[in-house]
Amino acid sequence: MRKRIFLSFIALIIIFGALSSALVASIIATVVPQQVMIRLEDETRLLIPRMAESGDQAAFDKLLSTSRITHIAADGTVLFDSQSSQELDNHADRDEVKRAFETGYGSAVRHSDTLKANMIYVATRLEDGSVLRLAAPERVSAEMAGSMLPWQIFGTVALILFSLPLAAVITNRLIRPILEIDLDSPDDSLVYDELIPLVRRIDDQAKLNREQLEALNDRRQELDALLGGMHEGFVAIDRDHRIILINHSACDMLGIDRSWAQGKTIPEVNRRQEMLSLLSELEAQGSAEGMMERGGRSYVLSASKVESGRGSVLLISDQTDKIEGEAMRKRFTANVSHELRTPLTTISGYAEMIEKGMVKSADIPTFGGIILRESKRLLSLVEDILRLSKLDEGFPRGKRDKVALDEVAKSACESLRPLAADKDISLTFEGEDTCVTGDRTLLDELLMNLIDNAIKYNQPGGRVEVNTSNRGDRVILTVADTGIGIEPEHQTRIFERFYRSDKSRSKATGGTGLGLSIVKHAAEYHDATISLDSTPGQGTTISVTFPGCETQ
Amino acid sequence: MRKRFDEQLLELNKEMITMGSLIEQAIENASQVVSSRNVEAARIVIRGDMEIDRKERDIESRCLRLLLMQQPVASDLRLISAALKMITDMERIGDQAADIAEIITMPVKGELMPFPKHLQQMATETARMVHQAIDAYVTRDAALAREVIESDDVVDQLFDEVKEELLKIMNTYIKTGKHANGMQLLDMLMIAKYYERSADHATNIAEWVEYAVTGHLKGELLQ
Repeated sequence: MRKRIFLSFIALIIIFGALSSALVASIIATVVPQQVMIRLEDETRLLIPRMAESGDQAAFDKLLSTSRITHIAADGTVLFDSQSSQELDNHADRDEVKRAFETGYGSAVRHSDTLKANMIYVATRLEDGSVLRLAAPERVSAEMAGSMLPWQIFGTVALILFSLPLAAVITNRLIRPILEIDLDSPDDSLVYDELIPLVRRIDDQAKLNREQLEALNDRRQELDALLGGMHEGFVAIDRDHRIILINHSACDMLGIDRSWAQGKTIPEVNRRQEMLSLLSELEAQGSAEGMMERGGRSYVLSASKVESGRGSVLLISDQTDKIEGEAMRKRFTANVSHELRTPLTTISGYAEMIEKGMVKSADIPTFGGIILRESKRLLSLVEDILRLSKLDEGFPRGKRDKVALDEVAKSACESLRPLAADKDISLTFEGEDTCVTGDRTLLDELLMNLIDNAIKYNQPGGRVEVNTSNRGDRVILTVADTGIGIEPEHQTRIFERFYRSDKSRSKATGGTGLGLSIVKHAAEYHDATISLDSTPGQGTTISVTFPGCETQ
Repeated sequence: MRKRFDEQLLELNKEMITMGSLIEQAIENASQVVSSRNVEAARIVIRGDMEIDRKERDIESRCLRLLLMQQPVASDLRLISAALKMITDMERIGDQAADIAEIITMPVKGELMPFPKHLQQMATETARMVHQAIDAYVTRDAALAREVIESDDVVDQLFDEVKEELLKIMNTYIKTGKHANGMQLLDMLMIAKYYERSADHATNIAEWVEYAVTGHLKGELLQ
């Protein structure tokens, strides 16, 4: 803009300069011949009286004029010529002479045959009817104009030189207010009214932009909070599988750094075969599902293209617990059917033999005893399963009483004392008065199962010690035995249903494999924790730590 | 033109990562096959090698096309020529994995002997090197590439230790006069050698990564 205004100024000045020069030149071109004619007329006026006094030649000499003087008689014959000594032809047909004969005065600018040059003529009729003609070469006027030319050139150059800084200054003054407009508060600095609409518009636009930016930021923060709070991994990718957006969960699941991952493509971030095939399936079908294992966790991947087709969304969810739970349920079902079938096979086998009369009547009580034992086993199994499923469904939380744990333990010991005596095991109880909040039946079952196990998996002559104690705001129940112990590799799994450290599932002990599972559930119901300390061949101590009555 | 070229480079990168992922999986699976002696899994590794070979040819023609049609210069040229060299090493790693798996599929005659202690370590170390070399390529990380190149010595040392171990086993058999299963010992030596070779190829890959990023190959500036 500055350059343009500046150049416009310069151009304007040059054009005006050139025009005025041309004007001056044309004025000179018309004025100078007139000046010459006036001079010639003046000379004529001076000449006429002298001619009358002393004749043509003398008058001319006296005048000391550079002009050509011609005296022409009334018939046109040349009487005298100051610059030509030869005989000249009749001059009556010359324009200026002709006019002078007619009107008394004539002037002309034309080519002279005599002098072979352009001349300015002024002819005057004298009283005697002859004509006095003075002439000056036109060259004179050209010389006069020429003498003015250097001044003109000097003027023009001076004009341009002077106009350059002036144009620069004016341009600057025009531009400065525009440059100085403060776009943040345009009203304060505005100089040109013509700019008001433009500046207003810019101002409005700026305000709009600010608002939109703020709204956008808010939305972004909302989205961040939303995605950040998500448990699932969320990844938004574009058509080239470049990551546009990724939340913290996804980064944790893929084991990557969030700031690093931004803008990387998925294969760059994770090139597991599962992921690559998911992406190619996504391209082919528009959506894809897959599984991925990483760091011992199982993830379900699910990707689908967004409607506009400009990208896709990838969701990653940690399904480890679900998958493990499913596996556990499957194992449980298989175990239940197996455990139920074993006694049933025995029962139906013996019953069939009796039915077919293949058993001697003396043996029937024995067989009946076996059938009875197996039926009881089956019954207790079914009872345990029912109890467990009840615990699974969740015991009603409401009915909790204060229960004296030591009393429950004492009565459990009493009822199991005959069993212990059978196996030649000493069962002792020792304990402080302890109080827990919970369900008496459940606690009884927990204790019965623990003590029962301690007796069952004991050695003849062994000991079982049951103890309750208060430790601060906690109540601790321990059941210690001097039994066979549990191998370390089984210790984490014995609380699973039907799990037995004894792989042969020996019937000798007569357990259902559900006892400790019930213990675990009962403990969980009471917010208690179980700890296990066992040395194979030396014994096992199971401690259950309850929150005391006061803390509840 | 440049946009199209960029797209083609991106495609090439994707293919390279895919191939890298395939060989990573192959070498990992191979070491799992070794520890589990699972013949079925071994067959899968052997079959997987075909796909790696196919990928190699695919990337090769892609690189050549890029070189001919786009006449790349500077870092683009380095990247493409490095890719062209890398796939050869990658393909070799795939072959080694298949070879290891093939040994496992062979029926064992006689008593099954335990693998040398350091063999599993070699497998883990080699798989880690391959993984890191591919990582270095993906992230264009010259420092990581250097780390891989330097860790080649570890695998070489482990190879020596496996050899020592095998020699000891042989000696004890000779001393006790028991009949040793020599074929199994030889197979174990072969497996160890394949791992050692794979580690070498991983080192090569890392060297080409270093070249692609810095222009230096084995410490020398290539122009």
